[in-house]
Amino acid sequence: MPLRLRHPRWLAPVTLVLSVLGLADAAYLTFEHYSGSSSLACSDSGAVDCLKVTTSQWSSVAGVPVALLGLLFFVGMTALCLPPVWRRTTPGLDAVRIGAAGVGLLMVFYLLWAEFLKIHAICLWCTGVHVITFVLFFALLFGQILRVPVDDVASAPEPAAGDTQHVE
Amino acid sequence: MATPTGREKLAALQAQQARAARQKKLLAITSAAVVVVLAAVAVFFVVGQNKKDSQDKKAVSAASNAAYIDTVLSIPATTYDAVGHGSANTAPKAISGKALTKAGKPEVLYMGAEFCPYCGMERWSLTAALSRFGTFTGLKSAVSTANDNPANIPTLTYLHAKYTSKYLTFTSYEMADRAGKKLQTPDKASAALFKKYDSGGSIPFIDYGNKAVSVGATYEGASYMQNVSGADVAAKLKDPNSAEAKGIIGAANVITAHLCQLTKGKPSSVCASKGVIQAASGV
Repeated sequence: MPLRLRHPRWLAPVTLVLSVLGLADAAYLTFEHYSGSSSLACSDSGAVDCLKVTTSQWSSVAGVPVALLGLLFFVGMTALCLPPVWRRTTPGLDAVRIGAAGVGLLMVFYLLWAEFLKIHAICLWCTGVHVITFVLFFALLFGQILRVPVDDVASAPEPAAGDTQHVE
Repeated sequence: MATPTGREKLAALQAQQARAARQKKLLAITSAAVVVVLAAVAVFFVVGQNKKDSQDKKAVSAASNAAYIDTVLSIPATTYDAVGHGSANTAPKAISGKALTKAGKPEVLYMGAEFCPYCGMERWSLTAALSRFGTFTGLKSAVSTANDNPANIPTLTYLHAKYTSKYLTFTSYEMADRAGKKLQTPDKASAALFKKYDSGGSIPFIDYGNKAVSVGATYEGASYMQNVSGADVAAKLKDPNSAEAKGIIGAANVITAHLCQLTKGKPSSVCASKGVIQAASGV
């Protein structure tokens, strides 16, 4: 008989909170991008210089602002981390979440390369997005590894609404 | 439901142990991956910092050779004419203030700072243009800050410069040094003009006899002027088709056209030259 596994209980709420925080941060950066960054709440001199980063040539990829790419990424991640989606047993959904977060992490590496080696400044709001993406990716990865057999928790209290059961 | 046999219980226990061992191994690998990612970020940071420090030292060292300033002061008329408007992308805006004069001559007021990259670019063109009407002494080489974008623009500073001309007077304020430390404080009248015509407080600010003002650089040289030496930029000025000549000399012609309005077309060898006329029509 195949072994039925479920994610740890912390995974659904943690990933949803991270995704919503990332969404808010990316939405702010996108708003600032399209409004000329005139009201960007950040230092504008020295190593922390948001304006220098958000108006640099690396703030767009193939003409698309990275702030907008970040916003789209977190819209997708928020949708994937909603409780009803966590409850789904669709095959491959975990792989899609981890894969998407992995792509996000690669983008973070590209942006860190640009900030540290090309622009020589960092943007606090962008760093917020980077940290959230990093934590989100590894939370999903650890959550995947720490799945437990349903039988092991049969004697435990009733599972939370976000708990998922998968078949391995 | 049938009760599991001893053999089935043993198999389940072995599967559970194998699973626990595999989970432990994956946790160790993933934890190591976290450490690797954080280490990679740290390496990025350290390498970036070293690169920045190295570019900074190189820029300061290159600026110590001030020979390029002579090139700016002696651009041949034929080169000015060959470049014309060049790639100047803006021009001083006309204003209708009370004429700004000093010692009976129209006054050009410059306000900037040594750290400022766009001041660094503009000084090349402004110096070249003013040198067609008079003589500079005391110009020193300089480089804008490494902590801005664009970084390390090779330039010259007006901090100890003197300008003499029978047509114009030139007043300059370098308000801060490369590190942002306060240098020269503008007098009240200059500060009032700065406040009136440059509400955003951006530099460089230049007032052309209160007939026109400019805020920012007259050309966009960020792509070819950052992290290079002044000598390299000056060498490129000899070729009218280089990006440097089109930017710096084109902007110098545009500025010259405005200076000619203040001097009422004198000297005609400058104001009636092909390059200046073309720059004026381009404006």
